[in-house]
Amino acid sequence: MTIQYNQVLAIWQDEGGGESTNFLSVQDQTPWSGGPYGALFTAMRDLSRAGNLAVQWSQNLNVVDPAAGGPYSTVKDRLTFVLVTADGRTGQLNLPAPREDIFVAGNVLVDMSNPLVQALVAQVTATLGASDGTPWVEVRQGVRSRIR
Amino acid sequence: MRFERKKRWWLVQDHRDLHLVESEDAPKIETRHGSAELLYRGAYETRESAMEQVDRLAKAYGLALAK
Repeated sequence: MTIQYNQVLAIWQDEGGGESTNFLSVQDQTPWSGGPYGALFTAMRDLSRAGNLAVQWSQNLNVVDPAAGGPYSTVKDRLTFVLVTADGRTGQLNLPAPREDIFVAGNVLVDMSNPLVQALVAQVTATLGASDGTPWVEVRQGVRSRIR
Repeated sequence: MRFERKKRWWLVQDHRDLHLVESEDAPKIETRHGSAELLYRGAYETRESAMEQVDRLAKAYGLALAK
């Protein structure tokens, strides 16, 4: 498969204004046509000795989802899932500011039988993949941590 | 769109067997070695999307739906 690196981005902001961004590789690796920007990048390539590995297009989806408070509600609080492909490659999905009611006792390990978590698992396995689009077939135990 | 509580198709693994159950919450499966052996593999909106994951797990790990 030709690697196209099609991605979706999720941009987050917590109550204190802290921001973080997810870059998520998707299973759909259909190339983008370039739209009206093909000639722009041709002109840029003509002026550069560097090779142009990729051009990406991102378009905004309007979302209404205000930040809320909670014990782990900053973007420095992370929920990490390990993702696995059928051929054994691994990746991570990091979600900022996890809600507090999805953990088992101790509030570090995720209750993987939680419906919110399993709805995410279903979406991850259906739509996301490694950088070449190979689907994730497994979402392993989620763990909460705090980055510095 | 916010999460809506409703019945979904839950895919649950007990050892090498997959179970597909329509349920609102995590289904309780009779396991051969106790509930600690259960692995939850997603709660899907439709049976068809759950079956797509069954196919992926079959190819990746040789798992299959329990008879």
